Amino acid sequence: MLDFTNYRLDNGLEVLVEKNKHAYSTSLGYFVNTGSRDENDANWGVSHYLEHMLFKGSENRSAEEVNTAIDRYGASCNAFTSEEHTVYYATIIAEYQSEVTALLTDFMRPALRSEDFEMEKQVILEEIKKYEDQPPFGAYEKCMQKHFEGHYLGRSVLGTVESVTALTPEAMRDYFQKRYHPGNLVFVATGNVDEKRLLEELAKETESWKPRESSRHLARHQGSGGFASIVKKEATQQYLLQVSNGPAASDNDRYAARLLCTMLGDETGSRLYWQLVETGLAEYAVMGAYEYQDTGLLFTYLSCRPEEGEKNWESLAQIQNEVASTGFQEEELQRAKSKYCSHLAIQAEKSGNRMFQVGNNWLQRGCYVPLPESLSKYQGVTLEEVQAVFADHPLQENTVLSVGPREIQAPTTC
Amino acid sequence: MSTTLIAQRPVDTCHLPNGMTLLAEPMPWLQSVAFCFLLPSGSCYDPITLQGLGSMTNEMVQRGCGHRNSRQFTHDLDALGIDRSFSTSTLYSFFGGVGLSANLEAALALYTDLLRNPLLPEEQLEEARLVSLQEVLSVEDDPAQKVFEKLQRKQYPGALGQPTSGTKETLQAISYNDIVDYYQKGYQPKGTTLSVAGNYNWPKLKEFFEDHFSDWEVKERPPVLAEPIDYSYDHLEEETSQTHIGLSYDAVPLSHDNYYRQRAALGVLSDGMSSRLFSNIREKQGLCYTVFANLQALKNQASIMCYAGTSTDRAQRTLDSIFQEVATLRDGINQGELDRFKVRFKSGLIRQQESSLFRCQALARQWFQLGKLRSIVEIYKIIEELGVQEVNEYLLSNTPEKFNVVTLGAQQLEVSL
Repeated sequence: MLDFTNYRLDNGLEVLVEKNKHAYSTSLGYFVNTGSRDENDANWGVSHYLEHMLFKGSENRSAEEVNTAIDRYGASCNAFTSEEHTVYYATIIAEYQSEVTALLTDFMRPALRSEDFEMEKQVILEEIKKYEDQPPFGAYEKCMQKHFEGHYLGRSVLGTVESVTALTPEAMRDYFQKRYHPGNLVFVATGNVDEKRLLEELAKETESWKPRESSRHLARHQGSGGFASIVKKEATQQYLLQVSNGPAASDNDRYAARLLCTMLGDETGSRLYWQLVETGLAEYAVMGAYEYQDTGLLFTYLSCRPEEGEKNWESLAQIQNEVASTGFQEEELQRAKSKYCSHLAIQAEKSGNRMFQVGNNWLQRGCYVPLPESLSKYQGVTLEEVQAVFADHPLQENTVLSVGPREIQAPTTC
Repeated sequence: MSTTLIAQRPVDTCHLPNGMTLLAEPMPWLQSVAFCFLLPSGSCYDPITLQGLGSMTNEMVQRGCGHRNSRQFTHDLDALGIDRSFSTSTLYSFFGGVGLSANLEAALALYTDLLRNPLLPEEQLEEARLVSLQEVLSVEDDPAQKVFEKLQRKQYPGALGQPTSGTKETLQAISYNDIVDYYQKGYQPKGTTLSVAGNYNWPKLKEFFEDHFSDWEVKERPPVLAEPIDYSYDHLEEETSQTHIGLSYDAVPLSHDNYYRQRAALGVLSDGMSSRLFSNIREKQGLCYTVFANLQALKNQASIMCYAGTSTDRAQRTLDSIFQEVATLRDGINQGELDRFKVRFKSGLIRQQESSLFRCQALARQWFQLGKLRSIVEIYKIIEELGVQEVNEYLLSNTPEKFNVVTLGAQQLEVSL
């Protein structure tokens, strides 16, 4: 059903095409191998700020013309920045493939006008403030900063009010020059794609691009550990975030780690769900595995009434310790596989979801993983492999951060 | 763009004498199938002193059925790989799922048992109450949602605007008998829909539906009527980083002749990156990161609700700018704006065909609001035929004059309504 080919243009730009003859839409995106981990103290927040600025036009288009063009082609178009990637994408109907490819390609050569820079700075500062008002009130960034002390992944994607305020157009142009070139970009097209036309047009439109060298500091990190409780009097609920080491993007045990998180901390039907959520002790208690190029995380998030904070934290630690020592049941693993694989297969019906899968895999692992292969990797995970994740990445060696109206005390069992 | 990109096949339907309807849209190009039960029993039927009753009943219904307790029920669904979603809104209770087509019948059997034979375990009442309470508390920490909830109460006074999750006080007042009573009156076939979209076998599906729902007994409940609105401004004083602004005004529901003219005008106001709110308030003034307007539609009433979040010192200018954009619509939209709306909307219709979940919910919503279905081609043609003149005539004769405003933040704003 899905037909994949990858190409490398003369300028070094890699183009990945995954065609789906049943698709009604076409998804197109530039995946840039850059994010907050490629920043330093002097340009903290620049990756995300730059992502906003690419919508402000090139020498050929004004900001208004960009926005008008996106809507004229009926494109569902957006972008995001993470610690490692910046992605610009659009989902459209096939007849606008050429126009939207040209538009996205134009994004990659922005004008970065000073007047647009100042206007957009206000928008970014409002975005930072928006998240200050939303749970968990900046605790995620603080927890990551603590866990990744001394590592490049400790810097938050948005930056701070101070770091963004201090940014200059010159610093942004310099960063752009270093990070946005064909050697550091991948173009991904999925769904209903006219492959021949795409390649011809991309080759022509990116003809003048020159590859440069880009590097990234990579180092496997052992979490710094520790605990902090931040008091936010205005909050109603107490929030607890726990981060510990996990498999990196290229580690084979990442499949087992994801199933471990499903069994232990999925939104429904997991160990944490039955003990903490269904009983009404917590509003939310979930786990996830996050992978980066050189390291990984197992992440736990819990929210509850403030007076239940310590008790729930203790229960959380007990549940995690117990399963690490006694293991899961075979039927739990089978259910987790069924849930996870069914979800993956349904997600693949939308071209946009496939674009993210294909692009992320390529940037993180430098390869294409066909959907059936992904499914069989999950199906092949054994209970022993899950248990090995606990042994290799002990959940007890963690960094914990609490935010809420109460100052929380660490339970003695943690 | 043309209708040749639309592959929608005729919707299979089956109506039972007890008033329950099965709607199914074949999408044989997909591996998945989505289904949802929509029961016309929402928070509008919660007694004022027991707000949150419908939502808590929904929570209790999920705690096992037939010979399965809550854990067995959830585990059986997980084993089938069904991704589920249960909720209660103002007018209805919703029980939905999506999975691979081979598992449809087994999943429907589980959901049917849940709706018709729930255990409603009395010993779990306090746990269900705590779960509902957590939901109320979580809204307390979400300023934007708090603004919308308050706006909803002002725009729909009385039962239609009461908070679906209730309040701390009303949740405490709910007894086990209240839950049983709500279940008995509200979980019945009249007006209930089972909608399915994706890859399924119609003869088998129809047979399942007739076998399992024909004997479901009807319970009559009077419709909930709207109450007159007292348009006003409320400020919720809180120490937040931003001031959160909500503004609403009357609109028409899906069944109204002017619905698609209104939809086009709303599109120009807020759909996409060239929309007036995004362009004039965020892009040209840099006033906020989030600004939008959307339609909040009940069955016979609807409203347009606008939201923006911004720093307190820029909140007055932001609110004034939103008012200005809403007022300026009276002067009309231009051909370019309408053309862009049309392409966006039609492109969205075509892309819906990749999602069984989206189509399933669209069938349920349409049937509930209209009592009939409009095909994708039909909607496509309505949109294609819209002209600037008719939209502008509509805007001229339907200028919003009365508003509700809610702000949350450190400082009250100046509002003249």
